[in-house]
Amino acid sequence: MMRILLALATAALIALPFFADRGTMFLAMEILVIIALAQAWNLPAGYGGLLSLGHHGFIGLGGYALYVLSRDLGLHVLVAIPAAGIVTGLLALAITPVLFRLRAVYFAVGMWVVAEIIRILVMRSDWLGGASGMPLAGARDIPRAWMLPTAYWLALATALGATVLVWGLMRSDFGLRLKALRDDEIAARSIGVAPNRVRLTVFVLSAAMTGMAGAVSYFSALFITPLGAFDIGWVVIIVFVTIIGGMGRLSGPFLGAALYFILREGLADFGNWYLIALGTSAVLAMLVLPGGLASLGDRFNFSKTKEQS
Amino acid sequence: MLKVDGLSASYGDYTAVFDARFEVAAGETLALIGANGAGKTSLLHAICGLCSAQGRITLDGADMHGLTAAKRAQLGVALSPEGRRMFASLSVQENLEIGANTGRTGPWTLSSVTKLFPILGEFADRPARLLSGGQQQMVAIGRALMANPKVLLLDEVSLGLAPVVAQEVMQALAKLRTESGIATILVEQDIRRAIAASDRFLCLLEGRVVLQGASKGADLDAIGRAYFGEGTAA
Repeated sequence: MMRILLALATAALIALPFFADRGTMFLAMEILVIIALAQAWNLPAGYGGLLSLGHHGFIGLGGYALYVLSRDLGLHVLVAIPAAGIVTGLLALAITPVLFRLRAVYFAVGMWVVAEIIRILVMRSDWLGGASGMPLAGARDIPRAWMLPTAYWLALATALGATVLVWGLMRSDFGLRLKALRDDEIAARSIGVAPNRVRLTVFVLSAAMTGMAGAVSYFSALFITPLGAFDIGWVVIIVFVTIIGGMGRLSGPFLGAALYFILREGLADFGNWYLIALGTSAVLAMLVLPGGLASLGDRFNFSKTKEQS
Repeated sequence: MLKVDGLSASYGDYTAVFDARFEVAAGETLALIGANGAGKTSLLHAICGLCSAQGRITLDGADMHGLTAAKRAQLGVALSPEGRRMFASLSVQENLEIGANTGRTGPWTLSSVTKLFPILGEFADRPARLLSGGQQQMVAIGRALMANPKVLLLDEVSLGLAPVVAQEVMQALAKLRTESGIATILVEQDIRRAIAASDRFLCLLEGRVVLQGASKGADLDAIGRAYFGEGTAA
């Protein structure tokens, strides 16, 4: 039954471009990108206890990787977008020898510093268009009428792909090791879990997913600037969505994104009041529902705790 | 089987254990006795690679110096840590299953562990954090056994347990002792209990070995004095 519903929902989402208007499409695409980003952030943070405040660095890297691969190597955008994810993952791998010396909150802030450094380097680089940014060279790879649907389908594929990847990982022995490490590092090490290998894997996977989502997002924008691509505001939204939805739960990013966009769109006529509503709901959730919206079910049903992971 | 020679354990500048030397044979149980802060846990951590150590630790003749905790676990060193250290979000069964993470095979499987501790089979699907202290201790021991270790390190198994529950855990350990060929090091504060459950004992005071011998016919008063550092300083 559950499977049939999921299949129907997926089919409806795939068919959306054939009956929705442009405004709806843009909003749907934005929601899907945020879900993908939150899933990617949740993997190391929620399941692995590895909190990063610098994932906007990977969004920017993914975006710029797409633009550079398209302009300098002439890659078709449909190839360049997944490739941008891989490039971001490799760059993340390159910074781990330094970053993994840091623990907990130092790691979180260290990531933030890394993102800032990347932004400053990009802004000073003429090759990357400096502070004024650059246009997408491969914008003509796709016929104009198909641009928005393509961007939307890519966002859908990224969000679903990230979800399926996290789901699969958490059902494997690897997921068990990751969660064990989060719950108790000493005990995990004593039974032979190699902490850095496990953390490195989820960190690089997360960076790659984030980079690909960033590439999808900037594919639809057709123009990229360092201030937008490396905006800390990305991380604020991702963290909000994941924590409100439920850290370390597959449904968390979906529920958190739903609340975020309901508040934002519902309060669109009241200027920046939605930010105050977001802040209030974040504080309330932490006080009343520390497990996030996804933990609501546990309160009423003991057996549900099995699903928690 | 396990041979420790001139072992010192330290955390940064602080040295917790000085120059310990002893051996544990297969099937033998060594009790580590000592007050809080005597260095018992540090000694175990040094053996399984969780803190830095100088000196020789050999397992079946192979030097383990400089190996990571993960490598030592693969060689067959398993720890049931002080405070039990459950993986709180995992179920009882998952806590046990991940004990087999090293891929070592042998007599210990999910079914043989739940045969030793039947209650764990009953509560297999429960989150480990919802278990009582005694049940969590059983999970911690079972998790270490799942690795099919050559050397089993048991840290403070009876700490914080009601006497009757501690008794139950010790009975399971007694069964283990007669049936398995594992070399076991047991850390225990209760001298009488430690002596009853071991073949030999080793008494630590402020990081140094002050007394050791066979558990059978051991002089409990002498151990008591060594435990508190009375009269043995000379």
